[in-house]
Formats: sequence, C-alpha cells, structure tokens
Amino acid sequence: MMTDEQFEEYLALYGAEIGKWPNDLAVKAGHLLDENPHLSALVADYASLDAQLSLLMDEVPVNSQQHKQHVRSNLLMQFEEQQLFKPRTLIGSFMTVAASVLFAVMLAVNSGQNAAVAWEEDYIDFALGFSVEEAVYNQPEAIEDEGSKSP
Amino acid sequence: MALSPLTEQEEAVLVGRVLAGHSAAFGELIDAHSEWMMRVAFRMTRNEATSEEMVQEAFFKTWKSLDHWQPKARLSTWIYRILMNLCIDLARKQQIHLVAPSDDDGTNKMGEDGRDLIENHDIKERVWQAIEQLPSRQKAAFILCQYEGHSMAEAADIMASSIGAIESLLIRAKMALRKTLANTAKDYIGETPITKKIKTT
Repeated sequence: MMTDEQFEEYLALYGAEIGKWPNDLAVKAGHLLDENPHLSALVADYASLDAQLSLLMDEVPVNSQQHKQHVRSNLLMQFEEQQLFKPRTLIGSFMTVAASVLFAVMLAVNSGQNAAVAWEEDYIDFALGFSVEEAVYNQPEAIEDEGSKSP
Repeated sequence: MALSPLTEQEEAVLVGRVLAGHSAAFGELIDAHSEWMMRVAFRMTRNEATSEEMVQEAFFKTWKSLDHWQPKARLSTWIYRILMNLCIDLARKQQIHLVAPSDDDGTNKMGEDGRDLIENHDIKERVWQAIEQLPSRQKAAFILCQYEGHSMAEAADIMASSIGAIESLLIRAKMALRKTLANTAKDYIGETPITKKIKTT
C-alpha cells in the first residue's frame, strides 16, 4: 500500500510520468490513483512543474572562452607567485646564490695568488739582473762550457 | 557522469606534477575542469563574476589540499565537492539578501504572439528565482540531479552525504518549487501534453 504522502514524495522524486517510476512503485501508484481519482490533480501539478523546470534544461549558462581564459591566467599567476615564495624554492635560491658567491671568492683568491707569484718572479728577476727562466734555460750550456774547459 | 577527460592514472600523474610545482601541469588541470566548473558555479550563483570567483577559489583550494588527495577518489569529485561547498556557503551568506518573488501574479501575460519570447524569458526568470530561494543544500542537490545529470549516488558522493539524505533534499526541493511556481504554471503554461494525457487516462 502507498499513502497519499508517499505518493507525493515519489512524484517529487521521480516526476509526473508514473510509467517511468520503478516498476513496483508504478503498480502501487496505479492502484492508488484508481481508488483516489482526486490525486490526478496532484499529478497534473507535478507535470506542470516538470515542464517549467525543463525550460532551463537547454539554457546554457555563461561559459565563454573569455571567462575561462581569465580564470586560467589569474590562477596560473597565483600558482607561479606561490612557487617563487615556497620555502623549498627559497632555500634553493639561497643555496644557489651562496654557491655563486663562494665560487667568485675562490676565483678571486686564486687569481690573487697567481698575481702574487708573478710579482714575486718579476721582483727576483729585477734583483738578479736576469730572468730566472733564462738562467734555468741557459744552465745546461753553462755546465757544458765549464766541462769543456777542464783538463 | 564523466566530468574530466582524464583517466584516473592521468589524473594521478598530473597531480604529481602540480605538486612538484610545474605550472604547465596546473594549466592542464584548469583546462580539464574549468568548463564544467563555470557551468555549475553559474547555475548555483547566477552571476558571471561570482562564478569566476567561485571557480578560482575552488581551484586554489584544490591545489592547496592536493597533497591530501587519494588517487582512489576521482579528482573531479574532489573538486566538485570543494566548489559545491563554496557555493553553498555563499548561498547561505546571501540567503537574507535574496529577492522576494514578485507579487505580480502573472495574469494578462498571454496576449499577442509577438510577446511569446519575452514571456518565455519571464517564465525562466521565475523558475530561476524559485530555485534561488531554495535552502542551499536543497538547491545544490537539485541542480546536481536535475540539471547536471548526476545520479543520486553521484550527488551523495559529491556532497559527502547519503543517498537517503539526497532523496530527502530532492523531495523537499521539488515540493517547495511546486508551491512557489503553482501560479506560474497555470498562467503561463496551461495544459502541457503530459497533463492532458494524464487527465484523459
């Protein structure tokens, strides 16, 4: 058995076309309508309601490309901003900067050392009156010369 | 109802890339979901600017909570739930500002044929207004099932509710709409093929 209240609930849930209800409910509803013809008015009410509601079915709400593009660009901008200020990214950036600074310092120290060595060599050359390189280069000849003069 | 063109595996890979900070992946996520999100948000808010805001906010919240997402649930359902919750919250806040239904009882509206288009628009407007007056959860369940084509089980999943609760929301929504739109039905539509058929049988 189906009560009037249950009948209205099913009308609301499944719509006014009782033939489309689940089978067992449709059979019970049919019996109820036979016994209570005044319920046809209720069915008519829900049929009108369904017709009105279906008017909005094909109404396509706003969905333009422009709106989608706007949403997309805003979101991507927010995403990229957030990525920049992410702790992980900040640590990464800091490490990169620190490594660059360290490398630059090492380069500077190294070139400074080279400059100092070069300056030291120049100073020795000046003090001796000849180049150390020349001396080293000429040394075998000098030894050979000395050997040829010996008895 | 399939909302996302991506498979579950593709979704999982995409989420991984978004979490790794790839903006291109986030762009793909937006492209895959923004269309239906705009449509649903507009049905819920009926305002273009507000719909945009809702969709943006929903995407932002989705991204922020992505590391809690489990691949066993569809990402579209997850996003849907976030979007619907935002819309329901907004509707609750705006409930007191809703425009009351017009006192105009709709009489003398059926006249010259040339006015049909305007009258049709007027009916739609009344139906929209009636839907807007529904309590927010009733409205959400109603839009999901009536206009977005979801089953009650899917709506229950999206709204983190039971099928029984969705049934109850739908019944109350329909009963309320019937009361609100009763006059409009008589004045504008008259007898539909369905009502004629019912009356003759």
